[in-house]
Amino acid sequence: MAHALVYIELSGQRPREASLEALGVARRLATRLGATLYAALPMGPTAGTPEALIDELSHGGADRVVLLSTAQHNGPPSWVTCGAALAAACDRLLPRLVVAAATHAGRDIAPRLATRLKALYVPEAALVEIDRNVGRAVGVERPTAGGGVRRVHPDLVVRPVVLTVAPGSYAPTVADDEAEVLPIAVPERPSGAAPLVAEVQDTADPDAGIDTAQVLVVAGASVGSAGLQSTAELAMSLGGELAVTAAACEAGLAPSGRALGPGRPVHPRLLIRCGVDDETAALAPTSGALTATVVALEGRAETASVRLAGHALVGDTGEVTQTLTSALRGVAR
Amino acid sequence: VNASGLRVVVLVRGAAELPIGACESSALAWGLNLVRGRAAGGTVTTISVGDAEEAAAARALAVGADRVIHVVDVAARTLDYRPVAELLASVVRREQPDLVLCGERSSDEALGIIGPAVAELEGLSHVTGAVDLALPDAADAVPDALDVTQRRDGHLTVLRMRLPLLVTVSGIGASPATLASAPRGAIERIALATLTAERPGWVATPAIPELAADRQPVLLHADAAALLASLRDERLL
Repeated sequence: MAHALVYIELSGQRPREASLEALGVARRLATRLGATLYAALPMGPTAGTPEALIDELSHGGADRVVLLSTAQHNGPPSWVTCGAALAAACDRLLPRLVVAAATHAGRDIAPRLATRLKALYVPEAALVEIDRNVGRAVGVERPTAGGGVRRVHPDLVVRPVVLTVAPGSYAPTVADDEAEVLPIAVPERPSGAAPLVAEVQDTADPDAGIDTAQVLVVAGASVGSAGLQSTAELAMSLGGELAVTAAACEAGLAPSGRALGPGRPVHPRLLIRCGVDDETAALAPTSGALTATVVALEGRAETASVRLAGHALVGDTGEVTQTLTSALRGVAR
Repeated sequence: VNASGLRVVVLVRGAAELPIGACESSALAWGLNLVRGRAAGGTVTTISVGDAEEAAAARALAVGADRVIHVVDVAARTLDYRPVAELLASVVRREQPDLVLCGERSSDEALGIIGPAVAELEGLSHVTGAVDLALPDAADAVPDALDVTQRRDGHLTVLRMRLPLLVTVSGIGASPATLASAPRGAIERIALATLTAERPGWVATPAIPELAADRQPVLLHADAAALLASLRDERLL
């Protein structure tokens, strides 16, 4: 029987919500594929048997919970701290499907597991489904640079597949079965060979609101400093966050912490682009291309920003943002 | 890190029709910054795989890389990530660098897999999504380490990592200004056959076909009121 494996990332003593969502996606796929679903849980060596965690993962759809106890588990979740454990699980189980949440850790770990398994890698996958006519392939869409979307139909029998799924894209599953527990031994590194020497600093990120915002308003370079103010007011009136494109950042409109682009995953429900025009980096896949409803407020209709949006309003971007802000404030009053 | 200084390798895309991406530019800038800012100096070598026109290689040379290695493979853009990573890993093995840098995401495929794949193939540790890189002060106890700053889960976290190491660099954030300097060398070409001879079993696996997905045409609204009404209908406001 084929195996499917989900990387479970912890937040404190609980699975991250995004990992439970990934588990839900994998449950759906594993059921259709007739695969056994393993929830892989890297953990420290002194943690004992985490009964509450096992229960939660059982209810989340796992057939088996793989306990991966390792001394390397000190530090933030990443390949450096969890990789050896997950590699041991993959080497033992040879899964045909691996799913991870597209968190920082998931984006760090999943591509390396894909390479190890010689698997196809589909990041930030959406619309995951089983091809009804084939029964062993998944239909997956993924965003590409420039705001495009591509569909791929990999056959899991021919080649394993590693997916990451955007947080907030799927609901967790609720199951009644009790998962079995499978401890897997993790080979330890020789003393002194750990790649992570220390976590030397951990400070609050003043621009962290962008990473979790449900509403993002993104200003492009063309809005200028005057337009930036009205864009910020629009963001405030929507209860959202102001972000800028890399080009706007380079133009000095905002500090780099406010910039969006490749390598910074955001997953808003509503993403409004103002004066982004044809800045392709701002239309990149990690800027909510698949999970958000995108609105373009642009000076011209013939821009990539408009073409790749769901809604658009064309006009003077300063006037448009002010009109929208006034209308929203009017409603609020 | 040996007496001749820090040896940094930067992986860049090699397709002639593509400009060097934001993440790759940032990786190259950080590599130059680390080496030039270090008393012991060092070298920055770029490695690219692509067609013979070598646009990315030439660009890397222009912005100050000490050496520019280009693997000539006209089919590179049609290949799966793995054979490309295997070619890059072969050159990395030849160079034996202290630090390998690459972009977090390419400006076309945006998979974010090449860096971790090269690390896996060469048995290197890796860190992704760096927004800042710094060499620890010499007075610090750990030699041959690199401080890597990541933006993750509401925090700016600095990890002190042991070299050798592969780091993928985010294209956003305060990458150092590219240091203007004259080209220091010529493009060193490696024929594909030379590397594949070193990797028995290398197969030019093509990338799995992908289709452009259907998408709804954009809804152009006449005015702000119509837009807001539509967003309310979708329960987005």
